Amino acid sequence: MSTSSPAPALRPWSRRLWGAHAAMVVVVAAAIALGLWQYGVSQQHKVDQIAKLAHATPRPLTDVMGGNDAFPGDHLGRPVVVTGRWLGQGTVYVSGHTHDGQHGYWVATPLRVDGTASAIYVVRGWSADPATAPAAPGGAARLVGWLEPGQQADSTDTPDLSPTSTGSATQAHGPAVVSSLDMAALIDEVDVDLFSAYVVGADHQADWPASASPVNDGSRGLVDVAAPALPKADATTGLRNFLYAIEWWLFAVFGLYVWWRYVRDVTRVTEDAPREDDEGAPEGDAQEDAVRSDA
Amino acid sequence: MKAALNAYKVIATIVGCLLIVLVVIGVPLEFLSADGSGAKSAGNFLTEYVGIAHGWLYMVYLVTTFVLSRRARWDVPFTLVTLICGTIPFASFWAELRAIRHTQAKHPEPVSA
Repeated sequence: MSTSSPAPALRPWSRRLWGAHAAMVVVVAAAIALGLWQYGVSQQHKVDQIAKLAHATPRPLTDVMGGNDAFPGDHLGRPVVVTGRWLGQGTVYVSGHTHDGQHGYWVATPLRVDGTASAIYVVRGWSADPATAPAAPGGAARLVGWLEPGQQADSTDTPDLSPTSTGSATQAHGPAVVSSLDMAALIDEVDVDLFSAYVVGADHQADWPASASPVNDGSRGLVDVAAPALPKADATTGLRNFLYAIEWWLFAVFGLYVWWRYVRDVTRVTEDAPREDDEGAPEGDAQEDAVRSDA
Repeated sequence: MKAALNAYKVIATIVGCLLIVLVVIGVPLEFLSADGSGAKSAGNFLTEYVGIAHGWLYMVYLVTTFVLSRRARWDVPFTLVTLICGTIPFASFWAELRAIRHTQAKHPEPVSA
């Protein structure tokens, strides 16, 4: 095997290529890490936007929806100010809610909203046992809460409102336990219409001035409940950083490709040097293009 | 080879111009102008959309440059300097000129085109 190059054939694991291998590893690892970083930034933008929406300045409930309106999806999780009078008789205990791993209930009481003919259920808090929950409040109230759409009753677990099991819905006969805040079922609990929404009391949020002075919010003696559904972040939020993340990952692929071509070239040139039409052939555009066409 | 060189010229010029718009106009507008001003939102718009466009076109630039570097048989350091200069405002134009001259010097046109 005569060869035009006196150097021994370069093998991919040759010591002289270790630098190229190391550079490839560094570049690819850096590109992947930078992509992860940009991905994290894009997700953080979404989290920040959601936190901002959930802690936006509360608007009066009646500005956001009327008593007979369908739930305004754009306002999911928005903080609203509710003003009205408690309808303590309609208090229900929503089963299936845990707190610190302990089974218990949301305590929800309807509030007749001023300026409307309807009431809205307010989740005042969480309690381990309806028997020990504080009595439902009465009188006028003004509080801030997150707006949530009415839930659908689980078909296999209908609200247990029948007098024969847990007693009638009235306080005198024991607590009304329900499995969800399904307005179609709860309508029997009150003698007015219901909003197609409920509100989770949010008056104990720190650093939120609008919630600093609730009036008769009925949350004393109950554990705070977090809003079950948060506002949605816009699809475009963090888009730039998300696309940057993808670019970095593509760059990692590009780095791999360059490394592969380089290693293939330098190992091939010396091995296959005798072949005239190979890539190690003398320069010249015509020949070059011929070589290229098969690559 | 000629096609690769022309493709390189086009993408290098586009990426170089976008980079200048982004770094020399967009970023100062976004970070130096007052909150809520028109200049601030113009800067936001520029960094958002020109930033995205530049990022993707830079990937095209990388591939185009790499293809040319192989056709024209640039050595590795020359290729790396050209690729990296594509990320530096104004230096990208210098690198483009340098790359074109280098390529044409190595591969003179057979006959006047």
